[in-house]
Amino acid sequence: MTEHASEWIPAYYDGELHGARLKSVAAHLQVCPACQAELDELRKLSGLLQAFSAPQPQTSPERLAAQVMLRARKPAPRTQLERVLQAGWQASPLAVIGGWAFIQVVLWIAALVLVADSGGYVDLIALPDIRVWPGPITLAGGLLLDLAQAYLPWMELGADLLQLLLFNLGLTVAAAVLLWGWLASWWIRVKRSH
Amino acid sequence: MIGQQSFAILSDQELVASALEGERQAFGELVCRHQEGVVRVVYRMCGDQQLAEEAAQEAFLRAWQRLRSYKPQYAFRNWIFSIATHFALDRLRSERETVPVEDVNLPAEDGGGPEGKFEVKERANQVRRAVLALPPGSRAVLILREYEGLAYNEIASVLGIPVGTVMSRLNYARNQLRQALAGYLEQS
Repeated sequence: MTEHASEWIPAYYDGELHGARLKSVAAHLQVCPACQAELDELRKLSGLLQAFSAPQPQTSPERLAAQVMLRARKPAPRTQLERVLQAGWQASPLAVIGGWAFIQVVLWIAALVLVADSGGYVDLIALPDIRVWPGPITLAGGLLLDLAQAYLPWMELGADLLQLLLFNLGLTVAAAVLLWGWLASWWIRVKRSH
Repeated sequence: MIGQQSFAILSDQELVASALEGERQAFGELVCRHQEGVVRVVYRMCGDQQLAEEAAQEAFLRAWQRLRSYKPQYAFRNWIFSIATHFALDRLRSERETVPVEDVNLPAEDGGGPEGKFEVKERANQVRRAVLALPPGSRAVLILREYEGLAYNEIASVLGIPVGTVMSRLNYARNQLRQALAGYLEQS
């Protein structure tokens, strides 16, 4: 029993024993001087350890709280790549709007040239072919319009303008989707930072 | 909005809940309550007051950043102790901290007379050296048990180790200290 009690003396001293084990060790301590001496050693050691006292904090709690809040507001330092990506993300809506505006100008000029050509004011033979559309749009639009052109020659101008309009519509939808996506990501970032 | 003085009557869990809703003053109250304890633990871990103050700031900053991960069924004190202790252990391992040999002016109890005060200070320095000479893992367990009164399962939770390891490290630390401080133990 002495060996068993020695094993449990530290836990007994720390108040970690319960129930039957606690009673057993307590009863053993009544009759075992060696185990009682070990328990006394632990008490003396605990008392001696209190000599290692800690100084009071030099920073007041209020000031520490303010320092923590100040550091919490500052974003973590970024690498060069992160800064470049961040700048690119911030500039992307401007790029989308700028690109859309540029293509709008080109399309309007193309439309004006087509109208002028059909009215005989401009000789398109001398100009480069401006009807450069994405292949699928040209193919789909062309099949429908060929039929119309066969019976309605005066619709040729309208067909060209319709292709311009369809392309413009697709471009505008794409730009709107990109901008909405950017707005959504911006809103999520703002929400996370708060 | 809760008034500033009202925060003092709230429990730690209630303060955390308020802080998560945006009440920064609630977190300030948590800092006020637990700053001293955090500084005490780290100071006894490292023996350096400046490091202890730095660790306290770092611990509370990390606590603020990770506040959503805090589980209310655990004591906030133990959670912040866990953050601070891991910070201190990481610093000790990275810097391979050696025991400061020079004596420091520690606040000591009144020993009565100049010679008595000198003996008291000398004893305090010896105890400090002996504790700081322990391996970091055993040192952390001893400090949390002897100085902060945490139970074995709380120490296990703070340090992320099994209860059996807590007991073995504590026994090892106590045996080492008994040998190092045998002279003072015989006197008392």
